[in-house]
Amino acid sequence: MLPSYYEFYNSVKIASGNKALENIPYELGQLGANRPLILTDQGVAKAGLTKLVIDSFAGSNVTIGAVYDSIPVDSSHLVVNQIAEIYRQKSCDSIIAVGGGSVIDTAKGVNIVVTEGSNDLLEFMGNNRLTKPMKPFIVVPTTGTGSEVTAAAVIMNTEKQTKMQFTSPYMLPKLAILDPRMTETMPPKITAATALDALTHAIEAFMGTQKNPISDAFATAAIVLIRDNIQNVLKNGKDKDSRLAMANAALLAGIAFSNSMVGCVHALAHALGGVCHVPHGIGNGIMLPHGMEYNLDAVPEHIAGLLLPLVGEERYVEIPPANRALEAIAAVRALSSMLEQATGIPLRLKDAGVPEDKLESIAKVAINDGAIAFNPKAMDFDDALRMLRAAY
Amino acid sequence: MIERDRYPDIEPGTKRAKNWVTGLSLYFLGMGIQAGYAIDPVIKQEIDDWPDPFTFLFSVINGPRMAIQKKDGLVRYLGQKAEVRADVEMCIKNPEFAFMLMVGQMSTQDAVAHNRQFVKGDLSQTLAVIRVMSRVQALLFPGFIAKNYINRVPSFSWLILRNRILLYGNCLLGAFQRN
Repeated sequence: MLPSYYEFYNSVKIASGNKALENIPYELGQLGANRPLILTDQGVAKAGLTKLVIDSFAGSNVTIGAVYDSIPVDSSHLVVNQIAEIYRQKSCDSIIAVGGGSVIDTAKGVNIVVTEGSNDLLEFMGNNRLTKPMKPFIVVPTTGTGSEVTAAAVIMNTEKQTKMQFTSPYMLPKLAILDPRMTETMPPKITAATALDALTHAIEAFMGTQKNPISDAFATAAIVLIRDNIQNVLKNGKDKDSRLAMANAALLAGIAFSNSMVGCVHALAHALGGVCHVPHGIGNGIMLPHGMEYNLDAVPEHIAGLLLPLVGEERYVEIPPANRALEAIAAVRALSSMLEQATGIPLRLKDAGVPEDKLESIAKVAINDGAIAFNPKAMDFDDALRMLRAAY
Repeated sequence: MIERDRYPDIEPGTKRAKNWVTGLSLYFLGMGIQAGYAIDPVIKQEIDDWPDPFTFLFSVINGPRMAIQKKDGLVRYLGQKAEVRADVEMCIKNPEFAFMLMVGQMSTQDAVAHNRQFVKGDLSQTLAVIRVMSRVQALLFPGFIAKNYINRVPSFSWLILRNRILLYGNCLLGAFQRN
């Protein structure tokens, strides 16, 4: 059934495949830019991935204005303001982010500050506060968060020790580059956590209050790609086809959740990250089946609808309609268990290093997370605590 | 040259009646939050967690607005004309959406899900304010009406009935005093 009203927006051009990086100079020219600032982190730089991007400019007339390669894991508004100053001092005219979620979100923050001609990111906190098109912005993801196609950024306010959220369609990059070379060195544990993260994006987008036929199409396509490629990519990380498929899955899930938003699983995972520094993908992976169970009585038909992409046609037709929602949750648990056995990622909060006495603090943070506004069921403190205890 | 009379400017219509209803509802919501802080333990517990000072503005583009302020441990409804510098502003994009929200044709959850609003400021703080507004609506309306406004209606209790009576009393008394 169609929702009574929905919105969908995605303007990002996607270049995916072999030698995709080499398209950047031409695309920059199309955007009227020729002096980009490259943003990345130490891990990406040490893995040689930044060099791959820099090498792709060989033979072009593009001068790289500067490379900032020290973005921390939990980037802050102070880092954003500092990089914006470098952008101005070096007369850059565009931004290229090479990295994972923190690098991409930082780049989005820098773009806000330099476009708005401000010195402080804090002025723009909130949703839909930006009013003009932003500087040319290209993203080369190296993990698989889907941030390359989302209109949102989460950046730390170090003074208040809170995570600030920014959303606006203007924040969307102009171009996302998916090149298999950028993810082929990712270790199995991070590959597994990234897959669970993308799966959670797709499943929560499919269950949420903003779900719509277009976001559903992206979400189910993402789930199918994960289902069909995750085992192979863990066995053979150098397999370019599987790597590219997983990068595409993350991107598709990103488009889905940028338009249908995420829910209680993300609210809890954000809180787990904030209070106990549990990596985002791990937190999502641990909480996902519990979030599906929590939402089961509110949206059983949506959860049942996830079974087909999760298990494929042959298995789907064997399962009676009344059992499909529960089977979908079981399929997610089976996939998580497979990833645990293959890579050793934790599937319980206890194993992820969360102290039991922190569960109440986590629940308190989770009910104030923006994602909870889009969950099909209103999650209160007691509900959050119950889910955390079940996952412990 | 075009015939200017054939292509006249069309001025936008007005939504006076709907804005009046929205303004009245915002009065009950604002006064309800002020009174609820003194009456209802759930509202008190939520607002005690807000920063102090803290100002929240609920506005409608080309429509009415209302402001709430917490300062020195006191919560005050600042009315609909106060010029404030809000810490958090929740802005409804069209007077029609605000009317639907106020008469229960659209729940708060749907207003968020359908992007009928935008927020200036800390989104997590907005959620805390929405929880308080939902509680006020749960006190203002009996369950069968409240379910049109909020996602999770608390089950009936004598405490809720008592607080509902006190809340209406305070709102009406406040209106009388303001006039």
